[in-house]
Amino acid sequence: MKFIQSVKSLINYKKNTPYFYTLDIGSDSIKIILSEILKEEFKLKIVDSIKIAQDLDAYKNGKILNEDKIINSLREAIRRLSEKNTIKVKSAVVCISAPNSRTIMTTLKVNRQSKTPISSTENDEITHKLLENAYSSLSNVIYEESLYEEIDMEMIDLQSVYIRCDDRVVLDLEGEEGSEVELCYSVSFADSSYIHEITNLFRKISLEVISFVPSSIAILNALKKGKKEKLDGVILNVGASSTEAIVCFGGGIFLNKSIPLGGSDITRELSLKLKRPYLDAEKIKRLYSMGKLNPKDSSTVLNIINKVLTFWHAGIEELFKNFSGVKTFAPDFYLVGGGSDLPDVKEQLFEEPWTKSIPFKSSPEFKKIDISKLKELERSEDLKSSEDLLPLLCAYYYFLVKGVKHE
Amino acid sequence: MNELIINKEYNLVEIINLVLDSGEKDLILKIESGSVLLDTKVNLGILYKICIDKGISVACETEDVRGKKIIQDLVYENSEDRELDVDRLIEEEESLSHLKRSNSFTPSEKSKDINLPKKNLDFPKINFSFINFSFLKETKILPIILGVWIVLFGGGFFYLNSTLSADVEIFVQAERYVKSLEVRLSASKSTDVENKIFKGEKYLQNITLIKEIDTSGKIDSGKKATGEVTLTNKTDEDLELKKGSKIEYKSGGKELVFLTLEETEIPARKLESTSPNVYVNTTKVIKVEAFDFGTSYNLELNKEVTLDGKSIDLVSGLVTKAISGGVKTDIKAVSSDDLKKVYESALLEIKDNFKPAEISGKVFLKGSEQFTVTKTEYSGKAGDALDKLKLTLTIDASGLMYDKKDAENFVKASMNSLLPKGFEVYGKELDIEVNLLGKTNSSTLTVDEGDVQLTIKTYKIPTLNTNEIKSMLLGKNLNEAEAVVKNIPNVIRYNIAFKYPLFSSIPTDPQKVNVTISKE
Repeated sequence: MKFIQSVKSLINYKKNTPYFYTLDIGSDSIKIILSEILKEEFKLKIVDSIKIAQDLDAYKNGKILNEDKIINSLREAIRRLSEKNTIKVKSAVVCISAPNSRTIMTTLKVNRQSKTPISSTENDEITHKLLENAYSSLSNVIYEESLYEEIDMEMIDLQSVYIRCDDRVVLDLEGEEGSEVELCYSVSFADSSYIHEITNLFRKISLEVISFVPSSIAILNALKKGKKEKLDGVILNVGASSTEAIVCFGGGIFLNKSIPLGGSDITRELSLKLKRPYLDAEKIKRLYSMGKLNPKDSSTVLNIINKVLTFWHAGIEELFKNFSGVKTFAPDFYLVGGGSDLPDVKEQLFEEPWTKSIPFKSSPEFKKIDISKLKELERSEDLKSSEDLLPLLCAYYYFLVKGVKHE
Repeated sequence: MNELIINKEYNLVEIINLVLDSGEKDLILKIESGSVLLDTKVNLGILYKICIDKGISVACETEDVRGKKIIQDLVYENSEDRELDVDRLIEEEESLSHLKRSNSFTPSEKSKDINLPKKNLDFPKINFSFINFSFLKETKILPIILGVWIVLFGGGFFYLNSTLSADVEIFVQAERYVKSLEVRLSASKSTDVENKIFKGEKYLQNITLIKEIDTSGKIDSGKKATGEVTLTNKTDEDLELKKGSKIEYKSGGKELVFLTLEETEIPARKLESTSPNVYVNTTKVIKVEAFDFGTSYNLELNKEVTLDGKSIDLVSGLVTKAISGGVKTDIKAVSSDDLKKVYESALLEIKDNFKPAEISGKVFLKGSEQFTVTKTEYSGKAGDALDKLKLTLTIDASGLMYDKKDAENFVKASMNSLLPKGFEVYGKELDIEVNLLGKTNSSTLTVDEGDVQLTIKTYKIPTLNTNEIKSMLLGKNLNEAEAVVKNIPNVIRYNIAFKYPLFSSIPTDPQKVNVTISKE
């Protein structure tokens, strides 16, 4: 049987395969989505997905602690996906979140000497200047946060928020005539050492990293598909070992920041207090979030969860206090990530007095990401939980921006 | 005071649990390099915040150079909330030197070992190999030469020492300082910095909006059917009928009501002959009109009708001229929902579009706006046959505003209590934001006053006294002098220069020491 599958797999292998994996490496699990680009229909088909648990000492808060363990988990997940789907996949898109990926909004104004049409070279020079400014601003932000002076970062994405030429909104500067030019971009950078570590790690399992997609940009892109283009709001990406706050203004990402507190802290606390293995605690947490525990057990679990949530609230408050260029936050909150599945996270988040000390325009309001609006996405089954959403949105973003070219 | 070792493998929740579960109220945390606590200021800030909430005082120590600066920065940023810690640090420092008791700056244990750039003292190396000293062994003038050398050297040393001077240049960096405080903005009270009351003013604006909507109600209209019925009085009494008396028609579940259009009297039946008595009933033709509009009231001839409340044995009736002409049509009219709708939409429009008038020097407090309806004038009432309903709504929009200059003065007057001990405002940049806290169980919002959050953004710098620093430096050798300078908060670099490089001690005479502080 295995032999037949191997032969099938070889037959299905094409050099320009439309299939690719999207991977989200977390501290307690790795999530992989297998997608296919349907070029003719301009759609992305989600073929399969898998979530595989990994040891807690392998990857923490965006840092690789044990490369061998991650490779073993990846090999196992990919083996299962390959056997089930009999498809050989060589390309991988990697989701990357804070603290490894940081996005900053930068504006550049240029006063030109003459109103001649902007050439391609001048356009490149202006964009390059903006990217330099973005790098410098982000370096300052990181220094303010952590006092790290020498940070090596690589640009991994950029999204235009607006481009103006003499108060006209334009799509591209090239060929435009005007004396005053203003550009605003959200630029994403990633820690160079992390990029190299991941690229090398994937090479060892014969996968080529074709793109690093900042989760912040991928989520915002999905939100903008269903909402107005000029979206204002805050995205809270509650991961396993960290929570990332992504502040959006005018349809672009102003800045993202993170704290090392996430869903796995709750699971670990449950595991500790209930004296159960981590995976059992994860199941208990899941049953609790689905309301399937009896009242007594539910109350016990709630008490343990509440303790960690108190820390989490303190963390969120500190995090928001540190967004120093934001005068007021837009009240629309979007929760994503596995940690956000807990009902208490949503309920308590907006009851807590922490919102009083943060300047919100009005009382914060929780909103959901509606993926039914993503008409280029073809899915065979519904998402099991919010944690599966992130790799899916990253795959979708990759498809929209670079996907067809890749195929 | 107990110590806890914070291992670099611990995650943040484990560290917080460790601190809380220790049961101690005063703790020293010895943080290993690479710990999550030292990754960012926010991470350490989270621990501080939780400890403050739980009434636990923590002091952090680390060997990590960057970590030390993070700890120091946070101690100063939070010093007003963390008085216990700062006091403890001051006490520790006081035992080191009486000079450090000065309030002009707050020495901190944390700043002792910061890796600051050192003054490089490069002495020229002198090569003596070109001199041949062998002649000294062969002559007897050695003691004389030695004596002269000693005199010259001693005299020279005395001269140099007496003219020795030192220049100490210290560069101090200003830090961004952001502080929020809750104050009450009151239109009825005077500014009181101590009690955090900030005088505001009432804002009042009269707004009139005319809003018109299509009506959604319907009323019946048309023509009522008319005709004639003949009533027969079969009783011995005269029957008086008033205008509007009810005539009824009932057949096969259909019930119709008609009203008489005139006042009339139908005399009692007449006795025509006796033995036996023979009566002749009296009849009268009466005009009637249908109770409502519609064709359903049209009745053919010879339909039997009755007089309301009278049995057919007493009074009978018959349609003797067809009741016809009844027509029913619907026309648009004002409904009670329309009245509500136009009112609510007009009110919402005023609220949504409300933009306070710009008054020079004044700032309207966003969120404090309140609306009072003073006049409503509708173009019709419920039931009126109208296609459109128009409402003229007049509203008093009120709120709170404050004077920009007053806000600045209030902040300046509050700065002494806001700034951490030993710091002063640096530069002229003072950015003030005022945000309403809203109405909750613990905060107030009325037409007269509201609780607001004043956020001040400026730069702070340690308050340094050159004379005190100078007196701390007197008589110190280079290493000791460097230690003193490094101990000053926010020092980013320094330069200690001696007039004669061989004499690398600060003179004991204050007149010969020049201390300058440059702020950046």
